[in-house]
Amino acid sequence: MSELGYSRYGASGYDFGAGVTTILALDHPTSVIGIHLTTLESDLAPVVDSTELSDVERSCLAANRGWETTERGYSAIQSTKPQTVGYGLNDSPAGLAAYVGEKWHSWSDVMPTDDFLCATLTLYWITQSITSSMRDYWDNRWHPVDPSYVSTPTAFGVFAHQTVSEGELPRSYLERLYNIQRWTVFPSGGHFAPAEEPAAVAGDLTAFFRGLR
Amino acid sequence: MRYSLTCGNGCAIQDWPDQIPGIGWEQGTELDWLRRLVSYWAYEFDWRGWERRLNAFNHFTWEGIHFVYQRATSGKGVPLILTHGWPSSFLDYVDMLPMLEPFDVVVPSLPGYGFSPRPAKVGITTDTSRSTGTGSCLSSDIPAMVRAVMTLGPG
Repeated sequence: MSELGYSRYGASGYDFGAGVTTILALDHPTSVIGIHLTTLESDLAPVVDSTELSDVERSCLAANRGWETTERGYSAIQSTKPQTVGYGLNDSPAGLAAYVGEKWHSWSDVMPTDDFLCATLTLYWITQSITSSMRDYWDNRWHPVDPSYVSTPTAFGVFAHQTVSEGELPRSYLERLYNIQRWTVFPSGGHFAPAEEPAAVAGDLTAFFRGLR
Repeated sequence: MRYSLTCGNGCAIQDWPDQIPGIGWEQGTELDWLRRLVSYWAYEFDWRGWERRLNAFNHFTWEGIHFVYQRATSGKGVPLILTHGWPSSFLDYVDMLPMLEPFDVVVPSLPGYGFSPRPAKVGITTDTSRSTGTGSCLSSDIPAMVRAVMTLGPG
């Protein structure tokens, strides 16, 4: 890209997008100026011996495990038999709305408007892509990634209600995996932060990358 | 691709399951919430309005990956790639795009989401280049995609 004058770029994401963003930084450390994440990709968690964990880290991870028990059923089915679930969701608008809407309801802090939610549903509906989207869970389960330390400057936009309402993962824990240069806690917003709090995320992105140029 | 919702009449005769009174969301999506949302989707939601709104952005595909591209107001900004998650889409970023004037923004659709088809094979992970190497993965595609987009003209 250097021949075009665009030798370097930034990246940001959440959920699977956080995974893509992280791998981008690992694979292209000289090209990626910095990465900005608003959630951790759950398959890219630090590998830590439990004896090394602080009490705060331990309690947050325990809260996470509680969430896994009560909320992660979708991931179990999508990472094993996504095709089976797909038939019903691809055939029924109400079924699709129930399945996708439940996640938006549970994981967001500032629930988007019905208009936005229905636009997202319509996109899945007209492109018939709910089944193929769920295959991400299957592929990531059977072809896992080994996380390694990300030395690229990293910003975390911490949106309090990130799936696990009991507590955000502590900075010390995420510093085991990322070179964290910026850590900003926001009063509202959740898993879908870019859609829930676009001004907050845009401001955080602008401030972070301005400092890295 | 189906262009109409085909939801209208279907929703009117939808067979709704029962729900334990007062249980809220504990066993999953709450019945009254869903009925209201689906009714809105079928009878009030304006997808044509969204089409007009989305058509105001610059859409491209690169090697099958759909993305929206917005050039910095100055004509050349730091490239910034914004990647969504599940169950979501590039639409997460449409409200934010006008707030990102300093950047040359690239908003891809993950393979298998919305306008990016998913290659019909297994092993499409966030990191195919590191695992099985069997498929096209977004993170390994992004550098070339950015390179391609930067050759586009202004606007």
